[in-house]
Amino acid sequence: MSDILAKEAGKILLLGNQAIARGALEAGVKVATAYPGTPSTEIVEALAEVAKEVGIYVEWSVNEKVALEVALGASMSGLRALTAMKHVGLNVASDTFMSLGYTGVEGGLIVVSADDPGCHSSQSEQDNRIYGVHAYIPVYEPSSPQEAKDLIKYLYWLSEQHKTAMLLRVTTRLSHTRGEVTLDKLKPPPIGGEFRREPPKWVLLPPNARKLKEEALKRLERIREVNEKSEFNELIEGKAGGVGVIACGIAYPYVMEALDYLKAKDVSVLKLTSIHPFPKGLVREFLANVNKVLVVEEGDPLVEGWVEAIAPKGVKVYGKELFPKVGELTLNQVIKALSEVLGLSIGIKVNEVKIDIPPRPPTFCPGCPHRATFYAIKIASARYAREGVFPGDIGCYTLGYYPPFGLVDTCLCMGSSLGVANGLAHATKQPIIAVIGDSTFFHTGIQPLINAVYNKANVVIVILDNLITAMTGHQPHPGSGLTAMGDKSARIRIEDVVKAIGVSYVKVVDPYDLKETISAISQALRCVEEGRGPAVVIARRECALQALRRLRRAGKQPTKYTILKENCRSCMLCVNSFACPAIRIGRDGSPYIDADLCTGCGVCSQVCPFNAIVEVGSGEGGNNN
Amino acid sequence: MKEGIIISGVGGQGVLTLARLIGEIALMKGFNVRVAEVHGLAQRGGSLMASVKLGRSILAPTVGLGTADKLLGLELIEGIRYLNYLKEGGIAIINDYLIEPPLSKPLDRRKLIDQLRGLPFKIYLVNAYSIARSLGDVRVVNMVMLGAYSKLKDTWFNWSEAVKVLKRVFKGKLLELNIKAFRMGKEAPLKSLS
Repeated sequence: MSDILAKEAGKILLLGNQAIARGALEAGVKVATAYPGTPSTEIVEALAEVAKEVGIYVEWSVNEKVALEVALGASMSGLRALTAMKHVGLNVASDTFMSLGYTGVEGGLIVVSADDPGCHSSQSEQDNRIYGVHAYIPVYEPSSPQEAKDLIKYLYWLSEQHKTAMLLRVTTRLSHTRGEVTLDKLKPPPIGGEFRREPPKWVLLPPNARKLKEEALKRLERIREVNEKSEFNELIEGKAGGVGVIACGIAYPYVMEALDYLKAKDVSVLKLTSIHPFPKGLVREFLANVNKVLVVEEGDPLVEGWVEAIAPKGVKVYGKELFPKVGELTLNQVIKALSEVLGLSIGIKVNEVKIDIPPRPPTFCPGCPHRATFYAIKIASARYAREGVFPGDIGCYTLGYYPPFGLVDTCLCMGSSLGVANGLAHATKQPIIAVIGDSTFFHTGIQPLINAVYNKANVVIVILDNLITAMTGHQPHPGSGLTAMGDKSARIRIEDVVKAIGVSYVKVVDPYDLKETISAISQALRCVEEGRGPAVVIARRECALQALRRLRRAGKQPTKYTILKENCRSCMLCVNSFACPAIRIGRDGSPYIDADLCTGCGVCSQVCPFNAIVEVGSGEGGNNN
Repeated sequence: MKEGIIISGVGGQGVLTLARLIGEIALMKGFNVRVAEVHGLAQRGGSLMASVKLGRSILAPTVGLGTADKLLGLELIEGIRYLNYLKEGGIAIINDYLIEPPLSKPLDRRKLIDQLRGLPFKIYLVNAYSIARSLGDVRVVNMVMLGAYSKLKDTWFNWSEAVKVLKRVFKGKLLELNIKAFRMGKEAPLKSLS
């Protein structure tokens, strides 16, 4: 049984994201959608795992815009719906999101934005609370997994009371932190909904839109009144006329632990969960009792600006000037800032250790088909007369940026490799080899490919198809033949899509076959040189982690490879140019294959010019570390 | 009682599983718990760190630099990398096993270990890798480390509490293997470097 279906009255350890999923189930959510993206993925993943059991509908949509629209369709039919996305996902969904602020909802609709300050797994740190302000959609920030769960239930109620969507903004440390959560009863979802026609509400023709904007603004004022009295905003009263702290969402536990550390007892704290519409009255009251106030929030100084605007003369407002402008919030930062505002000189002593150790950036896993494809691209383009340009995209394969490949020249956002390749094609005569993953292709890669055919962008496109959305933890996509709820589904083959668009050179290869892959890319380069592009090579091979997991589940071990000492000349090509983590350097300075890590892909045996790498039986293999 | 624990290793070594297990044991003991994880790109064979915090008060989700009581390093380099999270006098248990990052210069294990002497922490080495290997599966290095952690003087959980949680998380042969690794970790000598 899944954790999130545990009986009520229990206290269990839940990831913040799972707590959000549990909250939705306790609220009787009926439809949940997402495109996977760190740190949001586990919300809808948790719901997908229990969908059949509970009787809800869950899907991995092709992108965040579609996900939001699917959830909206459910809401239009009177059902409670949820869509979750990473911060940059809301950029993709923003067109719909902005209109949603006007139309409002029927059934409760919650959009969860999981922001990634610190860029653990993202291209930017954007603070999505600003989207809520921009779109006239209320914004809430929970401070713990428990509060996230409780807040979701409350927000469904509020969403339906005021017929507006709600934006729940969380960050990595809420999403990916496990904490104790006391459960409530699960609410069985309704059987189904019904769409009642109401064109003036749902059709944003100009006359309707003008009226709906007015309504949206009035709605916000009504919710501001609710926020003024919300139980989720908590007040801890300290000494009158002393120091106050306004702690938004996840900043609250940092502030409380920091106060504990500093043994500061007289500080007043306002925990702010309802961010937008900003409860001015509540904050004004708080400010009346302090002479200094520190605003702690993760992201941009949004609340700080609002506090500054209403702070009475004589109350000094502190905020971001005491914090680094880049990166996520930390306990040490909060202790330092608080200590400064309180006029204390208490800091944390950090003992830096001066031992020279190498960095360890993330890398392609042993057996990863992407490593083989990048190796093939490197060889094919080295053999080609002119040096290429390599627009890259978002996924595990962004790691092609790092040595020994260095084959990612640009990477901005989902699908941008193909869009940028279009532009480069019309700007330069350099050969262009763009790389995009399977899931990213379905997400936002198809339109720029249509553009390339239509506008004659003469480029090579390599689609890395590992049959799954790998980076976020292996969610199926339209090319996997499986839905989020585990049902078999039509498998949309990338080559069919590419051919239908009108690409004439389309080759599907197995990247584990280096010769075939190098030859296909070389041919594609020639094809482009002759002006017959765009040319597409699809490098298809199941994600090695998936393959390995399946093998192990069947009680089997992969075939292993080993390096024959008598043939190896220690040229180090396998180590320096292929760089599989399973190929290590022994005490004698020559390479060996770590049998614990080898997945038996055998590509290194094709890289070796001296036939020194050969297959051994499973479970054998060398290990002389 | 309040404790902050850093768990570090190479992505794929079982850092997150170990962090979660410690969190589950703490929950069972009635503590407030925060287990901070990192998912996504950062997991792909790179340097990986998770933290567990347990106590009775409101807890920040992460452990700050210079504030951790304990550090469990599943690999030598990654153990060293996060030592600055320990407070002065904090305890580190590090698996005495080196996994060189691809494309790095050769490293001398003994030299690295020598440099660990004289730091303001209590550092112990344990042969978790050899123990896991002797059990036939290097993926249980994390359970050996749990065993080593459980034998520290100020430990807050006992054998049966840990096993109770293991039984909930693992089944069948995997459970047997993990319990065995946990026991061998508990019995393994801790080599003090101070």
